[in-house]
Amino acid sequence: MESIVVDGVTKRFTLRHAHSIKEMTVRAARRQSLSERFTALDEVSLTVEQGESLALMGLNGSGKSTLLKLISGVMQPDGGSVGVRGRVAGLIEVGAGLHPDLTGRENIFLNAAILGMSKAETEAKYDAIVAFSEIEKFLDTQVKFYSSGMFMRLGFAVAVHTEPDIFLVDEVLAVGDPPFQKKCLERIEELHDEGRTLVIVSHDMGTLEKVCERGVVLREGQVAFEGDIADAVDFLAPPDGPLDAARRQRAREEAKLAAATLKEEQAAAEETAELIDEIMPDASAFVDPQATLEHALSLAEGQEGMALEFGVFSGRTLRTITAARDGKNVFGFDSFEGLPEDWREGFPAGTFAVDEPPEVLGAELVVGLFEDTLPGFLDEHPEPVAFLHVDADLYSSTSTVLRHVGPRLRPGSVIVFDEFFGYPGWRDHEYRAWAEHVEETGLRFRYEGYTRDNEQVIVRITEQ
Amino acid sequence: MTVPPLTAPGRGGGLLEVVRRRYLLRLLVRRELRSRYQGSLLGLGWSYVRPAVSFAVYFFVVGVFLKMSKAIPGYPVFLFSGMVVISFFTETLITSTWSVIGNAPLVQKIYLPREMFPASSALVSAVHMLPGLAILWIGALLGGWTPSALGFGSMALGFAIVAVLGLAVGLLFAAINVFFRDFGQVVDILNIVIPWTAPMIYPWTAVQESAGNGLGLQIYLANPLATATLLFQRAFWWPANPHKAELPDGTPTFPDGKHAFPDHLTVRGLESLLAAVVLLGLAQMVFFRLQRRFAQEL
Repeated sequence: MESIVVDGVTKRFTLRHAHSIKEMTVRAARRQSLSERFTALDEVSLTVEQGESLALMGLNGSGKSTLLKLISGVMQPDGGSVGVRGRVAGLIEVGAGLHPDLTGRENIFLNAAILGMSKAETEAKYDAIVAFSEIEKFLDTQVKFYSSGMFMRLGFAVAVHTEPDIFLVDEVLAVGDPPFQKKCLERIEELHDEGRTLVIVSHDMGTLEKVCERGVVLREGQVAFEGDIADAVDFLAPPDGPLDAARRQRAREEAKLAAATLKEEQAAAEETAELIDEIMPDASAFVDPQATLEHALSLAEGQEGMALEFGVFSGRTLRTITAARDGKNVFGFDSFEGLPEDWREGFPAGTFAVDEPPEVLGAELVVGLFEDTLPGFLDEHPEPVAFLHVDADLYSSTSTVLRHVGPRLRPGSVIVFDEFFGYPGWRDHEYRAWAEHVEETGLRFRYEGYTRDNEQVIVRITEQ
Repeated sequence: MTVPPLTAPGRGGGLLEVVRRRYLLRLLVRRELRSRYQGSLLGLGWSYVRPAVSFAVYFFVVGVFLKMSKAIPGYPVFLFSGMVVISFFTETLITSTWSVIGNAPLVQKIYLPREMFPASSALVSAVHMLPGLAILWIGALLGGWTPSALGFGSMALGFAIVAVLGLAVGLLFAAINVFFRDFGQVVDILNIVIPWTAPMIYPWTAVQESAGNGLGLQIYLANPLATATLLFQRAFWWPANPHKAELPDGTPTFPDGKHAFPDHLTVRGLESLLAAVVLLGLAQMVFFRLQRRFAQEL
């Protein structure tokens, strides 16, 4: 469904030379012309779909801002028509409605009302606006005492919280310090994700490529190009030779990939949060992996048996375990040749290979693939397993470990999974191996804890 | 969710839109009041210094030296009744004339019904009128004023005429001022003339004496401001008049026996109000057409 329809719009400006009755009389007496006309927009037509984000591009004086003003209703076309669906608001000039004699608080309400918000709407958004503007301490100060940065932040904060159906942005992203610019850009992307229509005017091609899908290039008041944003950027600013073209191509692919990865990571984090709510609502959350490991070790204190770590790598965690277990019965398993197969994105087979196994005082290293070394090891060591640190990453390795070590776990034994969840594809690895193991053996256990916004989980075996 | 239809942006409903967005109007009025009085020594007082000085000048020069007090009993209340009305009108005129230009940044950047600005100026002037009204009322009370339906009705009618007329002329002048920046000078000159076009300082009978009962007088009385002034005099001055002179049929007169008010004052008032409303409609139409070019002219 179209959100903005610009149909054959023409806008002419009259440059009047006389701005007073006096000047008019003087110019008329001298037979000088009173005005000149020029055409800012010449039969421009374009349609913006609901939820689309469109970049309006062009050199200075090409008519971008005029078109934006026609869409916002500040100006009226001389020919053709403009149609919009829903409420239009914009960052056409941040802070235009701020009044120097009023305090920050009063200005928030006034500016919000100017942008079309009711009192109730403003009150509901008030805290968010204040937080966004970062001027909490100066809310009761008159705005005329604000620095230009504070002034702008206040105006921006109100504007981005107006929740219009159509949001117009005119070159305001160029002002403000980088962190605030970033915040504004994020907010604009958020508005876009909420399905609002965006029209952005900017000379910053990087920003436009990041935020917009489609670009319209205006030239001397006419539409010179309309299409995919990358093509529009190339049209307006052609690459300097094939090298530059290749560089742009690469940058675009990287950006696309980065955006996709980010999306996957966000999805993984969301699914993880859901899983935590569902299966371990009472588990404690720890701030970092080290805290999680230490808590797990304290749970296993006094539990008789061996402490095993699968996936030793540099030996750092094995040292922590050895210290907690007084250097008795601690074993570390690793081939030290890295992952036997590909794991997640960025971790192909061979990752974590080390030239030489690390020295860990008080712990014994068992070097080799788990399925080769584990059966013999368990034959030689008949004791139960009190503490198990699974840092095997892969489904297959974790599965092997659980199959062999599982029967040695006793009530009170503690397992720490180092990459249980929280990353794209987590359902296919340690999590899956554990779930299958529980399914097969009917093992009874409790989730004791996890690392917040991370991947580690503590499991404690309960009475069978 | 209902799908809003495609509409042309910036084609607001004029004054109706202003009424619809009265929350914003209220904030604008508050802003105006706040900014005008913050940081000035006398604060709210300043806007009363001017009328107070004019009042003193008129009272001593016209009332005492030219002996108008003799011809008009209770002259201070008589004079002040008219001044309250006339200064409401002239202040509305001055502030609305500059209201659109004064809000140029807003007009150029954000679409608002532009009628908002003259309307808020008129409202601010109305608020300014309140203390004057209070003083007038106290003065009238001291002179023996008693409430009456005729008094209240006259005041309401007089106020309505000036408010509508002020808004109408304010809309027109605000729009014209955008195109001709020296139009403000014209308004200043008008404001010298306006107080003398109504029977504020002198009795309306003075015009009658010079012009007779013919066309001249009718033109003079056709001025809605004259009618509004007379209505305010009927509301405040006449009931507070210590030496009421009346004809046997109850018609108020001056001591010299001439009628204190023209005949059929209420009807004249209603006619004036109607004329003001028609003018407001016309002013709205003109403003609406001109406001399409405001953003590019500023």
